Amino acid sequence: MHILDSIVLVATLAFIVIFGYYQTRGSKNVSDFLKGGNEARWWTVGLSVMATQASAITFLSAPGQAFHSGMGFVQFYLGVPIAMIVICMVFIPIYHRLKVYTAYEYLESRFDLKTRTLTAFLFLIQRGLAAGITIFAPSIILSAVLGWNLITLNIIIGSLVVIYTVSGGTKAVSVTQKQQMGVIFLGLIIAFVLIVNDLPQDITFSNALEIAAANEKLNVLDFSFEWDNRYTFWSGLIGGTFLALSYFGTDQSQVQRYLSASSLKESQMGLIFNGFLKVPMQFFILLIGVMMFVFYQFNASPLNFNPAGEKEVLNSEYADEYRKLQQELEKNRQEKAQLNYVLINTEDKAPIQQEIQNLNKKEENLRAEGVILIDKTEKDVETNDKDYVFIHFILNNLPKGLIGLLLAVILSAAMSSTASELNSLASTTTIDLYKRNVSSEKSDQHFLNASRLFTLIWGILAVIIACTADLFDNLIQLVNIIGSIFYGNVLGIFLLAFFVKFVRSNSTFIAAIITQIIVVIGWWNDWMPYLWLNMFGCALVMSIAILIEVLSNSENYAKS
Amino acid sequence: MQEKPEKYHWKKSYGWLLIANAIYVVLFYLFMNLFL
Repeated sequence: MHILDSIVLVATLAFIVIFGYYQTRGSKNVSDFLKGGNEARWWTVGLSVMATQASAITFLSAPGQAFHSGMGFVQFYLGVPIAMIVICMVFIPIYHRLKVYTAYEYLESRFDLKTRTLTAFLFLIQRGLAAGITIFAPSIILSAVLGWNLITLNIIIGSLVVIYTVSGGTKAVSVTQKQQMGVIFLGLIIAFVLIVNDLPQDITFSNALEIAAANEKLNVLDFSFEWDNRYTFWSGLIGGTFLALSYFGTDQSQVQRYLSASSLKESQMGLIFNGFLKVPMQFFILLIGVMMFVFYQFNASPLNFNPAGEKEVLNSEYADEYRKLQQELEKNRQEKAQLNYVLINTEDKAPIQQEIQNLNKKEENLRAEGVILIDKTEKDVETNDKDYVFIHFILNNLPKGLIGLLLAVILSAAMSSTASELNSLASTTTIDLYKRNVSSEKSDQHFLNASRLFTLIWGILAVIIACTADLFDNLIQLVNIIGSIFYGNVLGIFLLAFFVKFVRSNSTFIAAIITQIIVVIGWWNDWMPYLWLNMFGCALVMSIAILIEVLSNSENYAKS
Repeated sequence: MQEKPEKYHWKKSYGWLLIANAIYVVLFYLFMNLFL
């Protein structure tokens, strides 16, 4: 990496960490530390909510997703605005009225202690693992492309976050997230402008979109009802609403962001702000991927974007075979480039489009054959290269200085998500487990110190998980699956609490346990794509709890 | 514990949010078809 990039990267991250530390040090009490003294305005809440959700993998993976599969992923976010409205109308007024520190606290006032402890515990397992992966995912990619040491990188990201999160708590998380979002927006806009600028002189932006459409990359909406198709309008609207309701309404890493607002109205406005910006922001990130696709129609691209995979295969007995595939890919690209020129200069586009799509199929096959060769080396490297496309483009095509800025974008995103996670893990451990179940008679200062200590412990645990994550296959997917397994159940418990007033604590607790067992069996036996497990778990816990309550009521009635 | 029934308040901003997102979907549809 060039010295200028190193300076930009280190200066950006150091400024954020030092500013965050000095601006927010010296929390006086638990409320200061866990709720930021309830001083946040709506734009701080909104940016904080967005920064929490947008992890590094969002910026590394989404453009690569668009590069390979088009823009359909944006549909995944169509449920967000609906969820924001439900949370603003139902969840936030209750949380504010009860002045809770965590979402799970409310469940004790509505049900009982065991239900609160159960949901807090489910959150800690899932979010604790996710915090490790939030650090690990960008580290593994950056270490592969830049040759940096994976463990060192994990420790650096974790330590930077721990410095300001232990010192300033929620306020430090919000303050740094505003700057991190500033760096992220700036970096993405610059990347977009440079990609469009790097297209051949005679290809306008409009031509680029035409080429993307002919290559089936502008397929934003899919109204089909295919069960196995993960991203459709309907799965986004229905499944996405449930997922967003669970995530924004019951996951403490998000709830804590809007509980730090200065009033109910500021919390609500922060979430509405998120609802306005989420879909266009995701669309923009995917559009960067599409423009990158057009760029690589006129410039050579690797057969597999993961350099570790290419290195292994080129040092193996399959090197010649792989090189032959690389040559075929380049020949295929040149043919496609010519056809793309014809496409933008002709009226009758259909036959050209068909030819382009045939060449795309050939390209897909060549890339698939490349993956098979990498697999044959039997080295443990990631062959799904979608996470490596954007970083490959950044490192090979951006000018010096801007590479540092884009690396700062990726690391800022990793840090902002991790900070919210550590902050919420510490809150839940302190408030829901330690204070409520272990030691309630201590001073405010004692719980402030405990909150700091738990933040540090969760930070260390997250780094340990990140450092050992490499030992497990498909760990990122595993974390998503674990999320889907628990989320639906927890959301169902909250919906019962809010809307089904006759259901009482024991019915809910028993239903939650039964549901969790059934959902795990369903996942194990592959009953449905795992994203649908959210909705299934939610519906199941509600149905079982209502059934138990009705049956026990009729039994009591019969006895009396 | 018997809670008071909750009152849910609809605000204008929720309506604007739904309208904005419906417009995004229409724009995406036009965007998809404009360049084909």
